[in-house]
Amino acid sequence: MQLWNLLKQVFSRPLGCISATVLLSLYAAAVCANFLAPYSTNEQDLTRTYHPPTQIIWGEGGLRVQAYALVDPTEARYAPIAGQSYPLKLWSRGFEYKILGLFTSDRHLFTVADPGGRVYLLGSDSTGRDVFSRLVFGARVSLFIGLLGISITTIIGFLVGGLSGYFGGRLDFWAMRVVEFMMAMPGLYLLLALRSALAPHFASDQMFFVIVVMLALIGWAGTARVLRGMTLAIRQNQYVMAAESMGQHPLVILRKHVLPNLLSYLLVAATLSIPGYVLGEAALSFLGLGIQEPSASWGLMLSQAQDVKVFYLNFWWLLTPGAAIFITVIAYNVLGDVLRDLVDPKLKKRI
Amino acid sequence: MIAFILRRLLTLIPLLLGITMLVFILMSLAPGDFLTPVKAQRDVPQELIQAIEIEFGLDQPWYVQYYKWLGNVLQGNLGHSWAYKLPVADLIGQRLWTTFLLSLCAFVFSWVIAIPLGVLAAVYKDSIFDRIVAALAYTALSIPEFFLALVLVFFAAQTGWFPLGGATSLDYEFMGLWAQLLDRAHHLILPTVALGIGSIASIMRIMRANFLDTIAAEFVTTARAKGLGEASVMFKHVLRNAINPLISSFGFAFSGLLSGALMVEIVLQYPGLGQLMYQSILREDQFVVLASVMMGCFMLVLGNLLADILLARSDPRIRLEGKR
Amino acid sequence: MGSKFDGKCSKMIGVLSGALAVFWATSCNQPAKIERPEVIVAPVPVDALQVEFASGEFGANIIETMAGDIATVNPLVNESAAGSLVIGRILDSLTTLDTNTGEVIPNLAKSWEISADNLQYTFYLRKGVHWSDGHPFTADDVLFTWSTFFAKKIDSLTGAVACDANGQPQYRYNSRSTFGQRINGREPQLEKIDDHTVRFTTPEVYAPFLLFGGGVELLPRHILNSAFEDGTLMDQWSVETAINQPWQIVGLNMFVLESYRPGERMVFAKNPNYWKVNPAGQRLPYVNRVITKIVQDVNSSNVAFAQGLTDFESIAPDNVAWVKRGQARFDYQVLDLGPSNSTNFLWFNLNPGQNEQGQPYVAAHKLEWFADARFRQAISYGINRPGIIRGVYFDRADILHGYVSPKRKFWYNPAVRKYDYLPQRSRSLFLEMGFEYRDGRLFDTQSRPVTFSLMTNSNNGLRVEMATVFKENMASLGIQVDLQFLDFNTIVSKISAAYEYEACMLGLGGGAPDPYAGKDILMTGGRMHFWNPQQLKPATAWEARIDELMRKIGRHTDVALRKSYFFEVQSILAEQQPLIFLVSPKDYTGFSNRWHNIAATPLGGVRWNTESLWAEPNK
Repeated sequence: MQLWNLLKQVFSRPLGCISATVLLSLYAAAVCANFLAPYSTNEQDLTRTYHPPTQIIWGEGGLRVQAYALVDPTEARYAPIAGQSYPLKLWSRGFEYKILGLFTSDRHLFTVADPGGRVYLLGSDSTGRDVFSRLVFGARVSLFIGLLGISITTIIGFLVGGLSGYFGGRLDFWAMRVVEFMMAMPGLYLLLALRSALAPHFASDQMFFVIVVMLALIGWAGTARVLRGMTLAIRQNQYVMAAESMGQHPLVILRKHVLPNLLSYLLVAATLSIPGYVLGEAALSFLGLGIQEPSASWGLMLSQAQDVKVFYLNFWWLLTPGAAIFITVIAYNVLGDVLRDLVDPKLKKRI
Repeated sequence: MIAFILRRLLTLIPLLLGITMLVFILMSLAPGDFLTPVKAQRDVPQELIQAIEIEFGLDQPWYVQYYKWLGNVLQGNLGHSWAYKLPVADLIGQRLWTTFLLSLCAFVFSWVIAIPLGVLAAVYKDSIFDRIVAALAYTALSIPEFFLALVLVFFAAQTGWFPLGGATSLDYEFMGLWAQLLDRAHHLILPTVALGIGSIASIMRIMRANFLDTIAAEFVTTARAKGLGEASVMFKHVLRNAINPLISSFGFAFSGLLSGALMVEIVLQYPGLGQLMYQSILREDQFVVLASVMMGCFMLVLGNLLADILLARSDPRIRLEGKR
Repeated sequence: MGSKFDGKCSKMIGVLSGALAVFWATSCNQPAKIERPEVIVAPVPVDALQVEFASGEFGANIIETMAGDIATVNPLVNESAAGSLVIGRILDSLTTLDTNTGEVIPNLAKSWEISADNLQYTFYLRKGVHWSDGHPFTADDVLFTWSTFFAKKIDSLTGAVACDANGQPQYRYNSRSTFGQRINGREPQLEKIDDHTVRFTTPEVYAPFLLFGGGVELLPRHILNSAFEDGTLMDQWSVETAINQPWQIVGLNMFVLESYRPGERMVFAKNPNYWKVNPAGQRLPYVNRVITKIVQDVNSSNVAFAQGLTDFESIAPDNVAWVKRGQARFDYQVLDLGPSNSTNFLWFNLNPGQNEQGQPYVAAHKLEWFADARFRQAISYGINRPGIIRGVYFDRADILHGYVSPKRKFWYNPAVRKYDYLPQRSRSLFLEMGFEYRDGRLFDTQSRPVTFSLMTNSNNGLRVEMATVFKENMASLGIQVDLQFLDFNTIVSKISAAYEYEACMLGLGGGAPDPYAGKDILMTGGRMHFWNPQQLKPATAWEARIDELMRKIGRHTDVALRKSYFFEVQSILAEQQPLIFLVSPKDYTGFSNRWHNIAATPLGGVRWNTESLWAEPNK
């Protein structure tokens, strides 16, 4: 119930409301990617590479997509053909996909029925793939790696931090030395070293999980330390000491007394750490060491934008995945700040 | 003070040993050994390969290899790079300087801008200025460094005002001394901005918070009661007290700079340690990867140590606490 | 202002001046000056070649960039394009190609005679030519160079020539030239007539001898002979030599290596003993130094040129559009030289061998697919080449239907089987092989899903995009392709040493116009016979036929006959598709307008007459 209260309070604050809404919509978009995206991630169109975003206009009683002609193939320059456009259909049929692996559907939010037309909300990339579709599918990877990673980290961090804070003594001492050791290493360097050690043993489609594991392994130390401090504080409480003297098993005490008090702090810590994971995955994929083709991820899309001709010929839409990462990170940061202020303003110094 | 430093240095040794061992284990997890890509090359003399195999014990289990490697490192022999055909020590030496210079510039840049901004934001608390600065800080904190670097390269390509990468121009060696300094500075501008902006935001926020905390302290009320001018109160008393806790963030700032420098160096093709590490990973130049990860860790640990020393210097409680 | 604030001020100043000091220290990080021996400048040779271009001013420098670094400067060891470029600047040969007509013309040999039976070639060397260190150039150097190719290994116990399992003599220094200069397995004989005359006797009629034999880069006997004798020849002229003692790399071409910093730059100085003069009798080249900066990749290289920082550049086809924008501002030109010699192709590993652990290089069932010509043909029909040209190359490339690019109009066989984008044909070929489609996926005769991995080099952006397109093309045929983007050196070691891969996409550039130039690729046992390198015997009937045809091409001098044989080679290649050719990018070259005597030719670009190029020496 504490959580529910917390959520209500978050939404009552303007910043909290905005950031939470942004995040929820991003995740919703990722889940419904198949529905939102007019094209699949790998649908190429070699006659429309580096196409700018198509204009949406109103005409003939409905939404229409402007048609373009290739004016200069040597520069990939397109110009709108005056008066020619394709009707944009909503709730229409497109490529087939499976919902939850069970039901097949081919409905999409919007498509262009005419086979000669294309709707590129955010332009197309070097092989004519729709950037908007890839962005939406990429959200699945980039956003869920964060959630998955943080769950693993929080579990490890809680176990290590909670147990060492509760039992104290030698366990605490050595656990904290290990934590300090982990925190003494620059994250990205270690990530790269881990990656070059682990990657050759796994196939490319297992990379998603390998990355999650790597990020979790690097991130748990900070969480563990904070949780240990808090467990120490909670342990001093009378009801905990009472439970101990009653002979309750330590793990039971941890679960029934320590954990509920920690939950809100856990939430804050998690929210403020997720951006690190999103950025970690983006950095790895950007370097070509993370998610690889055919999957789309925001970092991978950005690496494909790192081409000199993109800069000189002004294909700005290829940089939109960066904006997506930015929005996600800033939303998480704002939400995390709001949560932290709500839970305990004194936390500002510690987390 | 000296005793404190010595004590801290002593605790560093197991830490460094642990880091090197961990990285070494990681590297040995990769398939093949350090010499696999080299054996296929035809221009490396057999003698050199054999000599290195013996020196580093490459046919032995990993702990023997680690022991030998450690021994070699302490003698200054970090192995041989196949991609660059140089001893790794020489290679790292060149690159270390470059990364350090970049980090230093970003550090100075961020402090020089963040501290006045933080002070002003605190002084004009809750004004439009404060809010705008806060919003900018959020933005700056949230932009991924490599994306910012990409945007800056875009900007440089479109305007032509800045070079698109590298540390020096093509004809650097044929320039006079002043021209060389200016050239280096010109090439440092974009990487420094990309790297420093995130730091500006965090330092500014902390500065503002500290300043506000300090203003509420009692000695400030005393100073005002004594009749000191507002400016004097603000700068002489509040500022110097507010800055001290910031020094503890030195270590974190350095860590962030080091990791961020890696991405910035790669995007902007700045020839530093991070870029070296990345290239070596791609080319499976194992000795270099090992050495550069090590170097990165060392720099970080040293940065933390420096932060601790500075903090101890300004806050005697820390010095005394360690004695217990 | 209190003392603490002053303290802060001084701290700040301290930090800044510290930074300045670091600037200075790092910028002063120059290597120690190399002590080099005194260079002897010999007089202008009696037989110096006088160029026809107008005389110009001396003293300018060429500034250029090079994508990629060298691994060695030893021509017997070198396998990279960067290395060939550098070595080609320092070493020279007896004959060369006329870049206008494509014919073989005199170079260091001022003339030659061919005997009536076409077996003996007598070269008359130019008199008075000296090596870059002042030592005279004589026929001994020519003999020495060829002896390094064919020196035999002597068994230290018996004192006789060592032989391998097949009874073939083993060579002491097994370089590319050892295979490449043998004519149908036998060595040409060489004798010295006098100090300036050599005579070659080929074991049989070998039409391209003037080009390939005459084009051998000559090595200095006085520098390398002792290494040749004691067996360390292949270790000479390594990167270490280039860094520490570059003056050891002595040659006859217009430049010598002055200094080299790996990964950074190379500086060439002009050869003070070069053997060409301008119409006024002054020794060429006009250029004083060539400063080559080593950059990451082609894109950085093009960017540097587009900002007016370099003098000559080969522009990638997708960059031409924006590089052209700077022509007026930075005073350079971009020329379209038409179709290039560069090719892009992919192939399947047909090596049936096993690695040291006894595992086959290619899984047996996959090898079965790859070895069937219909499989390869089907793949070829399924590749959208026009789409690649339009989308990836921005229309600045040509389709390659076969081994010969349309640039070589004379040797190009227009009647070969072409593989237009016909996925339907692919499907019918697969069905013919007994494969079947289930749910859009392709399965072979044993119901295994058809899938393979393709590797290509990660630092070539256009090739990466082509691989992505290929993957999608294959996906629409129901085949899953896993892409691996690897470092170029890793790829080279896999295709020439480790052999553990399934398919690879690469490209080749350059190559002389004579059809026999391809023998390293096309003939069994060649080092570049990519799909099964260094195999001892042809594995299939068509490979045997190609071997036979190539030998005939070498043996006959009648051009029409050679052409008919080569046409047949091309049609066999097109039919069998051991190499599936993709596209050939067009050639674009850029140069700064400050250079005079530029004479662009399709075969030679703008730098074929570097010795005659001059600019105002203000740079």
